[in-house]
Amino acid sequence: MIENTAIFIENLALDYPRNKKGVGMLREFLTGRFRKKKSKEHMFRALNNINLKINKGEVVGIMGPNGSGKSTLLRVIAGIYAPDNGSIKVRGKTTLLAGIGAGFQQDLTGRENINLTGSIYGFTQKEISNMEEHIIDFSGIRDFIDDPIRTYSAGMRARLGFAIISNLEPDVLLLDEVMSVGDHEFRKKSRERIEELIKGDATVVIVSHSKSIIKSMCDRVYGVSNGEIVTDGDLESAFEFYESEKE
Amino acid sequence: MLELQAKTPFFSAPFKMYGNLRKYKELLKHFIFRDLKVRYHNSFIGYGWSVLEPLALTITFYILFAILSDDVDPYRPLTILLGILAWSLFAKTLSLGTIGLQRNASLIKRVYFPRELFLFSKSGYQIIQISLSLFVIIPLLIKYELAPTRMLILLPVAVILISMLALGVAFITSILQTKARDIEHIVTIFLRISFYLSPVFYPLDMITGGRVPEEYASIYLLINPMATYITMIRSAFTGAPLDIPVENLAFTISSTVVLFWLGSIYFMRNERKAVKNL
Repeated sequence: MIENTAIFIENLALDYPRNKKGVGMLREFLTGRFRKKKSKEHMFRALNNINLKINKGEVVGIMGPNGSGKSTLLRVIAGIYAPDNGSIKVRGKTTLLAGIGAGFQQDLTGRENINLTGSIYGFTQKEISNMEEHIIDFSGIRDFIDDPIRTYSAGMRARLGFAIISNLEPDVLLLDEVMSVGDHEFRKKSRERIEELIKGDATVVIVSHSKSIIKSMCDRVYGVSNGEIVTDGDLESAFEFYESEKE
Repeated sequence: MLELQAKTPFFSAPFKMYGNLRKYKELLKHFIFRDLKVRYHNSFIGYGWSVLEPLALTITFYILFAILSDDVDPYRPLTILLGILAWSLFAKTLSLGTIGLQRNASLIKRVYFPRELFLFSKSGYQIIQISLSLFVIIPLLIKYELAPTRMLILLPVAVILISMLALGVAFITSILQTKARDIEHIVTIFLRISFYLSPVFYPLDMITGGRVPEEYASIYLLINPMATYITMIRSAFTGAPLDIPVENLAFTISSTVVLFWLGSIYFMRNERKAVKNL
C-alpha cells in the first residue's frame, strides 16, 4: 500500500445472513449442523467484487437505491464487518457517523460518556481531555453535563452524540446520510461542522441521496447497485445512474 | 492501520487476542470502571451490596446445614462464604460473558474494536468484585485465629483458573447467543444445577470423604473443575492441605487451559461472522 493511500479495497465480497427469528432460527441452529449445504440459501451477497482505492484527503461519494449495500460498505470500511472474500486496508483512525446517539451508558454522566466514547474510538486519555471542553461547548448542554444521561431528553442525547463524534478528529470519516439533529440552530451548526471536517485533512466517504450535497463536496462519486460498484467515479455518470434507478 | 482479510489464521488466534488486549488496555480499564461506577454510584448501600449478597446466602446455608447435617466442619461459615464467593466469580463471568456481544449490539454496529473486550471487561470486573468481597472474611479469620500461610498462593491461582474456565465457555456461548437467544437460558439452567452439584455450600469432603464410592468421587473431580478450584480457595485461607490427588489436579488444570485456548480460537474465528447476526 502506497503512503498516500487511505483506503484500499481489493476484490471484496461480503455475505450477510438472511433475517431469521424465533422458532425457525432455533430449528435452523439445531439442525443446521447436520445439513451440508446450509450456507448458500441463507446468505445473500451484500457486496460483490468491490475494488476501490481512496487517497488521503479525498472526498468520495456513494449513491444508490435503498438496500444496494451503501451502508454495508461503510461498515466494512469502519471495520465492523469483515470481508468474506478479498481484503481491505484502512490507514488511521476511523469514525462512522450514522444515526444518532453514540452507544451511551445511561447511568454515567455526560462527561463520563465523553470519556468512554472517546476511548471506544481509540483516543488516549490525553487527547480526550484536550477535546472535552470543545465537545461540551459544541453540544450546548454544559449545564447538564454532570448529570446522568438517563435524565437527558432525546434531543439532548442526540446533540451530545453528534458533538462527541464530530469533534473527535479521525483520519477517515464515514458519513451515512449527513444527518440533522436538534433544533434549527443546532442543525445549522452541525452542517457547518460536517463541511469543516470534509474540507479538513480527513479522508471522507459520504453516503447520500442528495445530489446537491454530493456535488458540492465530493471529488469522485460511485453508483452502487445490488452490492456492486457500477460507475467509474465520474460525477455525471453517477448522477445519470442514480436517475435511471429512480425510474 | 486496520487490515482485514477473509480468513483468520488458526493457531495464532490466542496470540492475536493477547495483542489486542495489550493494545486496548486503556479501553478495557474504562469498561471495568464503568461497571464499577454504575454499580456503586447509583445505590445507597454501594459497596455493601458486594458483601450483603454473599453474607445473606451464607447465613441461609449455614442454618440449613446446621439442621440437616451432622457433619463437623470446624470452619463452616468460612467454608460456605468462600464457596459462594468463588462460585459467583464463575457464574457471573460466564453469564455476563454469554450476553456480552448481544447486549452491546448497538455499540458493535457503530465502531470497531476487538469484541473480546466485552468478555474480558466482565471478567476483570468480577475479579475486582471478589477482591472487594473477600474483606468480609477478615472477622472470620480472626475468630478462627487463622494466620496467612504459604497456601495463600492458591488464591490468585484459583481466581485465574476460574476466570479462564468461565471465559473459555463464554467465548463459545457468546457467539452462539448471537444466533439463538436461547443460549442464555440454557446457561442459566446449567449454572443453577451445577451450583448444587458443586461443593459451594458444603465442603468437598462430603463427596470425597467416603459417602460416595471412591471411583465415583474420582470421576466427579474430573468432570467438575469448580470442585477443585473452590477447594483451592478454601485451603488458601484455612491452610489445610489440598486433599486432591495430583493426577486429578493436573487433569483439571490442563483441561481448563485447553478449554480457554480452544474457546479463544473459536471466538476469534467466528466473531466477525457472528456480529452480522446482531
